[in-house]
Parts: sequence; C-alpha cells; structure tokens
Amino acid sequence: MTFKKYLPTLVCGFGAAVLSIIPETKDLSCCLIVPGASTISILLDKKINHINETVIIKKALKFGLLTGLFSTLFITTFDILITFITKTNDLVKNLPQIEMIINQINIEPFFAYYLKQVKLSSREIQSTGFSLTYLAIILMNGFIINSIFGMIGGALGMNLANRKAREENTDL
Amino acid sequence: MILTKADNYKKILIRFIFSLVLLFWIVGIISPCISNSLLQSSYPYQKLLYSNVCHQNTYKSFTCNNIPLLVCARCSGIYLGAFLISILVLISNIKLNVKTKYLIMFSLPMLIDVILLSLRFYNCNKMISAFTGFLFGSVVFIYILSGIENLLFTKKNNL
Repeated sequence: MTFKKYLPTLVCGFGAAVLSIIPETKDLSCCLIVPGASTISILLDKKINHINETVIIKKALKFGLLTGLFSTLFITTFDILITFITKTNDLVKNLPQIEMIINQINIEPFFAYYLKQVKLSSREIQSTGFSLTYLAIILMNGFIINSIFGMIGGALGMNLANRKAREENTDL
Repeated sequence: MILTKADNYKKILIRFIFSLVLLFWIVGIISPCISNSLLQSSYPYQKLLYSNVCHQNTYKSFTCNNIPLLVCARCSGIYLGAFLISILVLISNIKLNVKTKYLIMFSLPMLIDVILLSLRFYNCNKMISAFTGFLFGSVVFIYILSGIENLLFTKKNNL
C-alpha cells in the first residue's frame, strides 16, 4: 500500500536518471531534469489515484524529496556502471582543466587535500574503473542537491495540481 | 485575502529566506569572479557540486578572469532571474498571484530556444540562452512563491 503510494516518485526518479545519463538530453535540459521529474510525480499521483483534493505543501515536499533521493540512487548507479565499463567520466575529463585553473591561485590547505583526493580518485578510475572516493562524493552531492531541487519541483507540481482552485481568486 | 500583522511578518520572513538561499547559490556560481582565496580554492569542490544541476559545457558558459562560471549561460540566467525577482518581491512586499498561462508564456522563449538549438537552426548564443533562462527563472520563482503563500495564508484565513 505504502509502496504504491510512492510509486510515481520511483518511476519519475528513474526517468530523471535515464535522462541525466544521456549527454544530449542533459545538455538541453540541464537543471530542469530533477525538478521536472518531481513536478510530474505529483501530477502523476493525482492522475492515477484520482485525487480531487488540494495538494498540501507537506505532501509536495515529501514527493519532491523522494523523487530527488530515488533519482540520486539511480543516477549514481548508472554513473558507476558506465564509469566501470568505460574507465572514464566527466571528473577524469575535467580534471586537467580544473588543475590548470587551480594553478593560477593560492589554494587553501583543506581544498589542496580535497584536490589531492580527487586526483587519486581519477587515477583509480582510469586504472580499475572504480573509486570509492568518487562514489562517496557523487552520492553526497547528489543527495544534497537533488533533494533540494526535487523539493522545488514538488512545490511547482503542487501549484500546477492546485491551479484550478487557486486561480478562482486570481487578479493577475 | 487580508493578512494579519503576524502573517505579514511570516510572509516577509519566507521571502527573505528564499532570497538568502538564492544569494548563497548565486555567490557560488560567480565565485570565479570574486577574489577571495577560500572561494577560489573551493573551485574543484564547487565544480563537482554544481555538476549535479548543469552540464557545465565551457563553450556554453560565461567566463570571468578566464575561468568558466560553474553553470552554463542558461542556468546562470535562470538563477539570476529567480534571485533578482526575489529581491524585487521582498522589497515591494506585493501580493502575488500568478496564473499558469503566464508561466507558460514566459517559459516558451526558453523552450523555443532549446528546440531551435537542438534542430541546429543556429549556433548556441550565450546571451539568448541567458535571457530566455532569465525570463523562465523569474516567472517560475514567482509562480512557486505565490502558490506557497496562497496555500499557507488563504487556508489560514478560511479557517
């Protein structure tokens, strides 16, 4: 019962992850993939469960958060799999450019350590196709960013779902 | 919708928090332009953090001090639009209520730009991307904020 209730978030999180790993779609839709998925999950839930009542903020944020979390799990899984097969990824490709930029400035000790870890991780990826540091970084970043963006999408979905009731007293 | 004094303060607080969060986000994006060693040396970390929300294609990003910003021109426009409108809304303290048709109307330029770019009608123009993103960012921010305020305060007034 609970699983069925949150099925739209799982489906949309998976959809967002698929779109995120295709370079062409990521190039075009950028920061709109996860919020878009959350928005669709709210609308999908309303449609499949035939809900006519107003979507409340709490539900919208919960759906957004779950979509963000599911998408992070799927994105990380796909990313790790593709990295393992190809032995390269965006981090490996972008590292020379980052190093070039960092060489121009005086780097703080903490971030020097961070950069050293990233370099080690890049070397590990090139040799074995897997790095635990890289996995930790993308999981942590994904959970933070995708959860926030998911909740923003949830708020947008709530507005779209409630638009009829809301626009009855609209001036603009 | 008539707001009590407490509700009005709450409304201002919500708007202030949104502006503050957006300011924090924008500062991260433009950190290559700010000559602060801590901000600049966090570039590798920020690059990975912002890669969650943008493809970060250097060809499609604005540069500052020969360093590409952390998100592309379109995303920069979206966040800048949302931030500037949040400041405007905070200062003016006006009542918000935006219809969905305005959301669609202001989103269309960005959608058309994306479609024309993908069909290769023209090459990527950073200014067009940023401007269409700016329109989208502003209207989405107002739309979301108005929905939240409407739901929070209208419901309370109806009780």
